[in-house]
Amino acid sequence: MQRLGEKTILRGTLKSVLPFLLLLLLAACSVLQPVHLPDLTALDAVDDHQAGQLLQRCRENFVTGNWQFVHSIAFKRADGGGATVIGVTVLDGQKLHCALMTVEGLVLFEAELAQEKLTVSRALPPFDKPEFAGGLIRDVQAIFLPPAGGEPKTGRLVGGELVCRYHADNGQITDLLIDDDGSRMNIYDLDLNRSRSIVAGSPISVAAERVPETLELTASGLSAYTLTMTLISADKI
Amino acid sequence: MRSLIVVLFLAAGLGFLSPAQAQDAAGLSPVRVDSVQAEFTQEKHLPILVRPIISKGTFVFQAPASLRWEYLSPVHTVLLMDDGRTRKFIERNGQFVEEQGMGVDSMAIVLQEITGWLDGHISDTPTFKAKVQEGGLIVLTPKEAALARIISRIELRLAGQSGLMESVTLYEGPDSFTKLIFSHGVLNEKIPAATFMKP
Repeated sequence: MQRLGEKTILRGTLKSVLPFLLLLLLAACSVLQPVHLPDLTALDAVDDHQAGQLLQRCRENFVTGNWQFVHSIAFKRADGGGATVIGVTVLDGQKLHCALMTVEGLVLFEAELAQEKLTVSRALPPFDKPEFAGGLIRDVQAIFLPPAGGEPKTGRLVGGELVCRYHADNGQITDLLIDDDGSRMNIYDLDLNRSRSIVAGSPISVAAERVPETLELTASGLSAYTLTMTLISADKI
Repeated sequence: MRSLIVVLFLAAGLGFLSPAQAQDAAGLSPVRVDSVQAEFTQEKHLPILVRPIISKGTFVFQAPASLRWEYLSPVHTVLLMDDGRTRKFIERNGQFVEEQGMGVDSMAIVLQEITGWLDGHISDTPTFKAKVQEGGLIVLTPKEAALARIISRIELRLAGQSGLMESVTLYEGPDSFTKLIFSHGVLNEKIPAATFMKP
């Protein structure tokens, strides 16, 4: 009988997970597709009321208070490969806690971000690489937390869509477009190329807040990948 | 990732497929296992969870080496092992899609473990050290350090002398564990071959 030895475990794990890890790492430094930041026409004084309403809708796009979300997460590479895991995200205002586990329940990764300090409490190889933890947390922050940059500018894109535009201190720009069916967030990096898109759909009301049942994060560039998240449960805690 | 998934199949395999050996280890008369069918409820407990994640599914095994391990909720997945081939499917938009990248080599190891349990004794497995405790409880601890980093111990609870397990609890840490509770177990009924061939 073949033994489930250390080498077998690590080799098998590395073989199956390494492409996922490498793609996440490459995403940080890949050459992005030339999707540039669109021009924004600011809402003028006449549109103050509309701007106020838009700001409110943009604020309501993100939950407030303490929450726990459980999603199924389908990771898909551009070549069609991928895997499905269960993700747990806990927001409590001061901290962000996330865990990834197999459908069968085995925890692969668990980490907490508090006051900009990331603490990894469990990371099975090769999920124990700091780059993976950082990349994962950045994606989770982008999905669940309001963009950095404080109060956004409001305006219209060329096509007439109303948008909240957030300017972060590090140069990153995030456009948030909201309609009745959900929202779309486009994130642009320092050279104003789009690096991420997050589409939130099928919003439901939970504890009087708007929670999307589906989320899809698309990372652009040579190492493109997609995370399709389906809500399993949402609890205000 | 598949190697890690393997561990839960190891535990689940113990739950369904080693009752005879578990009973033998506990000093009871072993029951020959040609096939097993059962339903299961899986509770995932983590310190950060306000309530456990509940999954439900079914399990079918036919000796010597055919397995269907199906989660019905919250994510519908089917793992099939038949004729030496292992495949995993996930339901998307009403259709099953085969997930690539699942290491067939790792699942072959699981299959060997399962068949080993059927043919031998829990205490004989090269992977786990078994300790029988009172009340039909068997505690398995990994022999290999690499596996012990993933799973600290597995607890098997026998369902009397029925030849089936009541539950399997797999501990990853003090407050992090996965509990599989079995129900509607059926031993040694004939199972159609197609059960193991397609999702």
